[in-house]
Amino acid sequence: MQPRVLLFELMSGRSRWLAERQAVLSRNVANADTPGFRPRDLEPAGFADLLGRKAGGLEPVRTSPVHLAPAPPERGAFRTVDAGGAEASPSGNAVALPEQMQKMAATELDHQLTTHLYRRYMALLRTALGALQS
Amino acid sequence: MDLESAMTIAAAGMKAQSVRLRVTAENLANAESTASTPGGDPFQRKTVSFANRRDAATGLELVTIDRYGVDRSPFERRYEPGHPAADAAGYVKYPNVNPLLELADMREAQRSYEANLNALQLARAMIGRTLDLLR
Repeated sequence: MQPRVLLFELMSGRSRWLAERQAVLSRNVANADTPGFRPRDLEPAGFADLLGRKAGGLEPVRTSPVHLAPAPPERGAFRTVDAGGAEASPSGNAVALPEQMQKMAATELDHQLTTHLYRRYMALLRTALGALQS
Repeated sequence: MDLESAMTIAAAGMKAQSVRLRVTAENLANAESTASTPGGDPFQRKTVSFANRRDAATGLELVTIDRYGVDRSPFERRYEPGHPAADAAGYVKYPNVNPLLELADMREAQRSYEANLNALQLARAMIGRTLDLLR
């Protein structure tokens, strides 16, 4: 019997999202003085996004072996959105450093939470395995 | 991995800011550099501009130097007939460098450098915590 434990999958999806967000935010900070640069952010990921699944989309059916196989669903591709406020410097740059710093700190804290949960869950499994041995 | 690319991006930002700091230092150092010939043009203030470009080696969008330019604002003219660079009327052209502006620019470069360093440290802490899961 295989219990459907999605928690690990969910947590690795979550940390992928957090890592990608950190990369996007790093790019915003690096371009804090680039003329005309608008900051970006990752779209908040839903449950299906984190599991790397499309939520109920239509897919073509292969009716002949000579048909091309559909491309496998892309994992780890989260959508980026424009995150610039209305305020921009005279050079057209809309990056607000304090806002970016706050977002980075929030991402880091979320990552901390995810790794702690992962560790706690592992300890739970280890306890269960230990009970088996005695 | 995304966290490593976050570190690469932040490092590119630090590099760009250090180039800016170098140009600013050049301007400050040459704030009094007059021409060597009578009536010639002195040192012209340099500027640097950044751009976000895709790096072919890593496939990442990194901040790079877009171009170096010169400030075309007029030079300051002072009446110093004894100066070796003075023209026939006794005027010497001094560079169009405003030390106050350069200092403000330097401080801004320092702040942006620190922000990038902060981003790098955060990504590094996150990688470290992920690796700690192995223990």
